[in-house]
Amino acid sequence: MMGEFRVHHVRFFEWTPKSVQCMSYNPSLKKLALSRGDGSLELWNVAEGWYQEEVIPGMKDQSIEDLVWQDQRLFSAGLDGNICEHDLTKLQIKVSCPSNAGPVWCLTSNTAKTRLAAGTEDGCVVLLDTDNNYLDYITRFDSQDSRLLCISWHPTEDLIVTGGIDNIRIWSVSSGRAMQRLTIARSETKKETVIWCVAFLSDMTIVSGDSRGKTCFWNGKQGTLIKAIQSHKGDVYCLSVDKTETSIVSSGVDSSVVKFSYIAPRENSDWKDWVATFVHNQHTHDVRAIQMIDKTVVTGGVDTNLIQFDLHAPGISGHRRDTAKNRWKRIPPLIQKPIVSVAKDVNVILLPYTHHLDIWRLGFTDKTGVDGDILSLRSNPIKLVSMATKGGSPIFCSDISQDASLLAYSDCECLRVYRIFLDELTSIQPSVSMKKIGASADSPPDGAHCLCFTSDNKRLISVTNSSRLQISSIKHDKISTYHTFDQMSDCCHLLSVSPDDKLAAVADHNCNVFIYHIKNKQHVCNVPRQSVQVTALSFNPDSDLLAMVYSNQKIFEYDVKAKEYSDWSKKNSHHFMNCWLRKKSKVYKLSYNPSNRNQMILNDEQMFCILDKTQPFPSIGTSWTQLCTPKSNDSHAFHICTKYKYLLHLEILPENWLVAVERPSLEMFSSLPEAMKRKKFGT
Amino acid sequence: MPTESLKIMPTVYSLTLNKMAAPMECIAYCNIPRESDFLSISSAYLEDTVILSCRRKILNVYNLSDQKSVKSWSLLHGTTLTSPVLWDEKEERFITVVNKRVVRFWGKDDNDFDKSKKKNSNTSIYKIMLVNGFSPVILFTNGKIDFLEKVKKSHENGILRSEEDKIYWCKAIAHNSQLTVLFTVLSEESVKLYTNKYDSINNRWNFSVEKIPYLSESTTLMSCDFCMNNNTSTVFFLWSDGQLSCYNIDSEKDTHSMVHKLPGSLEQGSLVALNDLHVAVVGLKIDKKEGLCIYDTKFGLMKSWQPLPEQCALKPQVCQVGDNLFVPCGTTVYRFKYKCHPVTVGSLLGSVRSSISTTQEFVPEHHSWGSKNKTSLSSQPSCDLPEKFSTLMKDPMKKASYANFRKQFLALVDEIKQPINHHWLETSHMTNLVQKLLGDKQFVARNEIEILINAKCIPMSVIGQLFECLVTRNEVNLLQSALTKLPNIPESCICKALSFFLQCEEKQLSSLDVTEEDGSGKGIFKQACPVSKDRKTIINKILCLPFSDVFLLESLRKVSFKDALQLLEYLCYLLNNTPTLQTEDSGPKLLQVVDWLSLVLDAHITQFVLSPDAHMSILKLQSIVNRQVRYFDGLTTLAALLEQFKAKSLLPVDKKIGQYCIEVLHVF
Repeated sequence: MMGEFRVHHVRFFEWTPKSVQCMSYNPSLKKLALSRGDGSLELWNVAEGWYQEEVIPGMKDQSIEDLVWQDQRLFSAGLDGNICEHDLTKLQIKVSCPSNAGPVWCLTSNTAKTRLAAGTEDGCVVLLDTDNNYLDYITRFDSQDSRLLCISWHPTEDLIVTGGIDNIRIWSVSSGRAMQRLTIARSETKKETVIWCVAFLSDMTIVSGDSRGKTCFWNGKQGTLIKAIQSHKGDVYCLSVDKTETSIVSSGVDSSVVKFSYIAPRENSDWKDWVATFVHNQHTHDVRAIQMIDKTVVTGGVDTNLIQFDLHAPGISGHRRDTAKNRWKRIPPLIQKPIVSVAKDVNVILLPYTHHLDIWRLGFTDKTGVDGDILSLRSNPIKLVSMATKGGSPIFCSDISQDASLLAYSDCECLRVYRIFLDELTSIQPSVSMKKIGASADSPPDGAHCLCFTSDNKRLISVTNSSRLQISSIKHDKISTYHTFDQMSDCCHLLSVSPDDKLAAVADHNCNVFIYHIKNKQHVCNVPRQSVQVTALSFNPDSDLLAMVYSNQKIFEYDVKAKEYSDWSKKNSHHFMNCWLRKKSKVYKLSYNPSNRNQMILNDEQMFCILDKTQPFPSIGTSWTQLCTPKSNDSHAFHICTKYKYLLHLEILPENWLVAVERPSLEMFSSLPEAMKRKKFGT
Repeated sequence: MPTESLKIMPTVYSLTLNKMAAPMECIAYCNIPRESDFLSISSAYLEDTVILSCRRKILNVYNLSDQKSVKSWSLLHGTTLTSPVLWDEKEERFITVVNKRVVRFWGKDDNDFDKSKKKNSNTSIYKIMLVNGFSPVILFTNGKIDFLEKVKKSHENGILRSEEDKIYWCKAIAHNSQLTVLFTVLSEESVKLYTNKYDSINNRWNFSVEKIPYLSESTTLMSCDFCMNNNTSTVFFLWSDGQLSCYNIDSEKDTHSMVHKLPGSLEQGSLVALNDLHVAVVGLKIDKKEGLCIYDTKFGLMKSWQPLPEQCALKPQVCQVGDNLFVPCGTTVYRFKYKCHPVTVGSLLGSVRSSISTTQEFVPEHHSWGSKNKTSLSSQPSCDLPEKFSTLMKDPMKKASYANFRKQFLALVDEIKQPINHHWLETSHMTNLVQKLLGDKQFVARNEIEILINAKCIPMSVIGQLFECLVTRNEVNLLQSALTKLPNIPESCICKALSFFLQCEEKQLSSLDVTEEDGSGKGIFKQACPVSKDRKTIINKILCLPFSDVFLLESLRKVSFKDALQLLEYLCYLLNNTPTLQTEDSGPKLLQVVDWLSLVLDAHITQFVLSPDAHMSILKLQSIVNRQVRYFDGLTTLAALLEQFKAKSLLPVDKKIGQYCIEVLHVF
């Protein structure tokens, strides 16, 4: 047996994901930007197996209705009536430009990436200039009588197609006049048909999806309907065109994904037609956004999950055995970063929500038992503090000191630190009071993306929103910047401070890991750069080794003193089992066991694993099932526990205590709205 | 109220479809001046029409369907109809008799009755009658019969000479395609039934007289009617004591038979035969209400009963037209519509049961099944059973030899044993037979009883008598086989047998065939058995019998205290020596013993408390019970431990975690 733990099994963290609103894929960066119902923005690295690089929490009442990439620039438009450019380093809005025509429903870019066109509530197309890093209002087209819900720019010509209520219009960009008006039939006389999505193909074919559940193909030159396919049982919300413009996917309220292929319906025929094929029905709720990424189709919607479906997997031939293979994969909407903090000395846990923070004292027991026992509690968990953020701004990061005397959080602009006074913490009703530690006027700390208190509670190490490592000192109830290191990267996302408070390691999206000496204010070294980025890192208790998990699931241990990989790493880093490397979910937390220096504990949302450095690695071909079912005679380094599903946080405390924050999927999705009724076999 | 014991005579119903009368609906049909004026309602010129004839004043034709009066003739003062108006289909005319002397006939379109044609007669006319296919017949009051054409001839010197011979009832029928006129005359000692047959060759009326005696001195004839079906022609007689009898005019022999005692009481009443199976009787009083009933003469069942809407002032009369019955009450004629529909044996049996439950006391006794029915049923295999019964019952000892009787008896038992005839078991035939066998002093019926017991052919109702008889005769072996073989032994019999076996001498018991292995010696606490081995076996058998504690408690109270005490001691012994887990069927189970103990104690608790003899036994019982309770307490503890063990070795179940818990986790 590897370890016997007593686990604080926490299920009261009511973290709830939001529905996917829209998506935009950047093929050059291989990144997917997606927005959720609360206005938050996420950046996913698709190339590295769906690693969630950044989450930009949404402001209150903010909405993002559409996202557009122009090279490295990301633009969004929302119902607040602004078109914004996002700063992906600072994770803030860089520039904002009003549409001057009310809420914006849709946004598109020309192929040259110099212009943006937005469809607005007022019924007009607003043209914006994005050339030379600007975001400027140019003009607006003639307005029509009703809102524009979808917009698409012709790949080559200066033509824009918009969809609204009951009609589709083709606009000339140069004149700002509508050239064609395509009227959509109604299924019921008094029920207007809403065009939810349009796409403009190079051959002037216009594809539209509407509230009747029809996907229509139009001849854009003549303004005639080529074909209307009743592809869905409910509204068609979204469609996406692949690069070759020969296949289109659409989805909507009925959550089924349908693919349209431009093929010859008969053999040896020159004439081609759009033919619909059903792809999958994995979503439980409305699908809001769809995106073709290479040969896969990615969908997201109200059920908050992303589903990637491989259109060209071997199973496409229809062979049953092949279809059973992983043609589709579900990407759960969880944040791939440790967001919960634990004050290890006093069993206090900090649960950050988007706009408020909860501090809980965990329960206590002096009993022990056998595996699976639920121990009777001497004291129950109690919520000590629930604190709303200043001005309702969203929380980017937060931390609590090990003795729970200091609390810090940062919104997009500034860092806030509080001192917590806890009396009679173990009693039934502990007394709690808080006091804000003000920032010194001359050198206030910057807003941070990562935060960590030193163990002596005198320093606060942070990665600022300009991606620099900053040391702030807390003295006389004032926090002031002690030192800011030079910027070495513009996209740092992970921070780890050694237990002896001397070293700090920072990882960025460009696969670098920088090690700094905090006391000496020096950059010590960089860890050899790998091809993929780090997803979790941690110093060992002796503060001489830095362990890192990469997005390809490999684990490396770097000896900081020797400035080389540790012996264990050298020996084992190329012998990972294939099943481990194929694992879909990313390890987002790594820590050493304080009770056993040879043990690392790493976890993702599906499992946690105790990695014993003294034991050998299993053979490369070991299957995942074998890995998870240990045998007494064949002991190996990986000891996996899959008891907790959607493990949001796992913290190892001294004396073999664990804090496991679990969010059961049933509870997480219980607040979802009712989906369209769907006949299921056997129901 | 019938005085005889009321038992249903079970019958094997043939599966022929019979006509059954359904409940009737009653409507007020038309008005008459006085009830006493009502003569008749008979069918008129159309199927839907009826003609109402009253003695005075009116003569109306009504539609059956909508009660509309479609024709009406008024009678002058002094004109009295003495015979019901008839519709002569052949001549398309109405015929009636006025003032006993004048026959009048008129067409339906003649509006004035007074202008109708007349034919005078010298002799007073009793009634004019019509039979389909024959010309109208006139019955004169002196018994002379002639056709209408010859009404003007002299009709002196009728067959009824005496002044007292008055025609009570008459009916003309076509009997074997021979015109026949039946009439009854009441005399002091009997009812004379005259049958006048018309000899068309000799143009003569031949008559015969049957004397039908009164059932008893006090009874008088109430009503009679004739009915004919395919092969039987029956005259039904309704007597003043509510009896219904019938007379077959075909057969040569004495064929007057009693059919049924009608339920309820009858003061004044009339009867009309609806078909060969059903008669309608008006005036029957049930629950002090006068009503009209339809009675099934074959099965002896009242099919339907409808109280009359008002009291009849005179003797109730009833007329039948089609499926309507008309009863005049006061100044209104009520129409009762009945329906005859085919019925199966099953539904008949169902109605038998329902009629038992509702009017149980009125279920008539079958005095005789009637020879005519027997012959019709004799083709079926099981219908000779009643015959067999009756042969056996008809004094088996005097006429027939024992060998003959035994032969018949065995044949009967063989029949009854068949599952198809099991329903005979509970019949009064069977009951009577067994009672006879049991009650006979001279005749040694032991063997027959044994055969019946072995064949399990003892009716439930006589099990009590059987046990009583066996106990009095000290029939140990028979009693034992009865206990083992018979199902559903009543608790009182169980107690009777128990007392008997507790008291009887060892010598008698030794004759029992004890086949069982005595397993009681295996008990840990050896204790002298208070009863002998043979006795023990048979008592064990009794203790194992199924019982209901309510009834057993009742019966146990009747057991003598001495027996109860002895039983208690034996039960104590059993309680002490019966192993808790009995695999083989070697005696009463511990639970049965405990049940019996409680019941015995309960039944005689006062005497157990008061009597010093019982104290030792009670104390002993208490110590045994205490020991057993301690033992079972120990088992309960053990069971809890085992339950815990079982729970631990079960597969893990998902525990309810809730919002937070501290749990132990082993990572392997």
